[in-house]
Amino acid sequence: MNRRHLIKLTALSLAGLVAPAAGPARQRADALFKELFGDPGFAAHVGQASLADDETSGSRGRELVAEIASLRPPAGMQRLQERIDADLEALDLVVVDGWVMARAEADLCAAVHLDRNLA
Amino acid sequence: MIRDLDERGEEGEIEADLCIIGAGAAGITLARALKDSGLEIALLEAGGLEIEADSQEVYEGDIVGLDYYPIDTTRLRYFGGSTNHWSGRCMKLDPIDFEKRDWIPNSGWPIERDALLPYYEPAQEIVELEHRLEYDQFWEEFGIDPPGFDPEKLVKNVDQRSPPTRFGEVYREELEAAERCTVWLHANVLDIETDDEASHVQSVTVRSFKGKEARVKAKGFVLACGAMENARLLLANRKTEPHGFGNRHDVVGRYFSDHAHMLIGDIVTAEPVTLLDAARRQFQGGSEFLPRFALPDALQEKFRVTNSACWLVNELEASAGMTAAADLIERMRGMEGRPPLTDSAWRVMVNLDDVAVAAWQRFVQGRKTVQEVNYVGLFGCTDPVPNPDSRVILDDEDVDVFGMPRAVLDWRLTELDHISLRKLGEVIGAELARTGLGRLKLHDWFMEEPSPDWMARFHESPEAERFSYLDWISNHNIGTTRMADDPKQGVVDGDGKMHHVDNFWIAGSSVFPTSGSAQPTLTIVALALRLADHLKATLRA
Repeated sequence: MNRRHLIKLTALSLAGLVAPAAGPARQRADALFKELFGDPGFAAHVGQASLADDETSGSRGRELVAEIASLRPPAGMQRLQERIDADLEALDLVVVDGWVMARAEADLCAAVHLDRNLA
Repeated sequence: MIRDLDERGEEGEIEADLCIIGAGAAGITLARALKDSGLEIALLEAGGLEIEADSQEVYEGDIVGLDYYPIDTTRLRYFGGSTNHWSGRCMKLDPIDFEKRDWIPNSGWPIERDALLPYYEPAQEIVELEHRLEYDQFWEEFGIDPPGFDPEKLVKNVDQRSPPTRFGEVYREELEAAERCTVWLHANVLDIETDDEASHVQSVTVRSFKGKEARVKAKGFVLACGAMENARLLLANRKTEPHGFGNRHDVVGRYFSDHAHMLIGDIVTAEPVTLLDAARRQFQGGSEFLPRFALPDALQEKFRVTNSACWLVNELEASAGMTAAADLIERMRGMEGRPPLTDSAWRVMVNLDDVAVAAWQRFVQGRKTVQEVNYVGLFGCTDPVPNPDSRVILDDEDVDVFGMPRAVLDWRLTELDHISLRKLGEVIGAELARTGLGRLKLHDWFMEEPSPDWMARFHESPEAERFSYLDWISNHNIGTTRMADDPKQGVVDGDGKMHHVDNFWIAGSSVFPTSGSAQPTLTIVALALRLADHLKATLRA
């Protein structure tokens, strides 16, 4: 996968957090999150802060992107949503720039930051 | 009856079975509970029936620790005490608040919550909570779907607002009519006279602002002047104990605390009305209810944090229809400066749908109408960690009109206060995300390294300026004469009786070892009722 493709996929992954199975409230709030993190610039900014706290965050994010990319789109999005839900459920949280996020979300943002810099 | 010391014609001592010093929530509750017990009661009030500059001035004092509101404005020194300006919010302490928690230094009460529980019900009547709800009834009562937070992550509580009860106004007539209870106005207690061992109080000397003086003798005495003034009176009385009466172990004045509370984060949500509808103030039967969120006991233990709490705050803007309806009503009432009648009526007509929704919510469902929401934030309230370095001391160089040293407040917080509130914020952020209600961004100042000075950072933050209309302390003066079984750890025992003294008790929130994140007045009243039962048995024996 080339870098440009990876960045695009990561941003889209963040933007596509609305799981098909989610209820209406979930869809509304996540649509807003999508607006925020669907912007690769903003995601990269958060990712940079995430990396400053935990330098392994980027590599975990890349692994996650690769895992999502290996699945068909609906299954990939569902897998991502499951990871995020599992982190939230387990209170495996990262606070980046004040945003309370699931670890998987912070990792994805870190991957966006790394790959934007490489690009 | 109510008498004024200045108008006392007779000479000699005032004699009573019980002398209660201070006519605030605790003192008035005690007097009411004991007025028909057969005991002769003298209730001493330093001020008058209304606020007076001379009396209020006695409360002036310096602040040397964390920033605090001027201490002569946070308390009121006249009949009814600080209930004359309290907001009325009430909440019971949680069971965990009474427990000794190994991760919270100096935590734990010498009594269990069960000992207080029977007194909460009558206390609720005293503060006029007519429409009382337990936490789990709140959501059903208002027909609200609660936020779908996992009960293993967050517990939902609710506090309720009293009218608020102004004790001096509401209970004045009853005390005026009491045959065996005399309220003495303008009776400023100066000296506490004891035996040589400071183990028995014989009398107290009172003086008015006009110089009228008397000695009050009683079998028993209760000090109930609030946490700052209780400490000041004890520390200033050094005749038999050089460091202050009851202070042989240097505990008097220490462990002062207040509920620091401030905005800690912004909530980004696509549906603020849905979020607020599930977690905002509601009104019913003349009472106001505020839902709030805290960590369950198991998570408090796991994260080794305190029982802090959070609730939502918001900034609203009336919808076009409701603004027009308000204009219309005010114009019809003849208020100046409103748009013409026809203009408002037209705007109501074209926005009839949101007026109808609002009317339905307000008049049928009994809920506060949700308007346009401009902002939703997360407001945090500490469960203050007992801190011996946070204290009230005296300034011997600066004395009041009676020559008594003024109080100096050295209020301090701890790192654990900060860590605890942050952990709660993070869990709320996770639950908001998990349930799809929103996303939480904690403020920058709040995310800095945990430090005892974290409140100072708040004051320097842009949010402190932006939300300057929100209070950042609660004016809950707590500690300074705390309860403990061990005299080295506390000033009074579990009954409120001063260690080493056989006839001197202390009432009010100064005896709280910890205070959770609950407003103290309801517990002050409950504890006073419990003390009244204890005094009945003790003084009549």
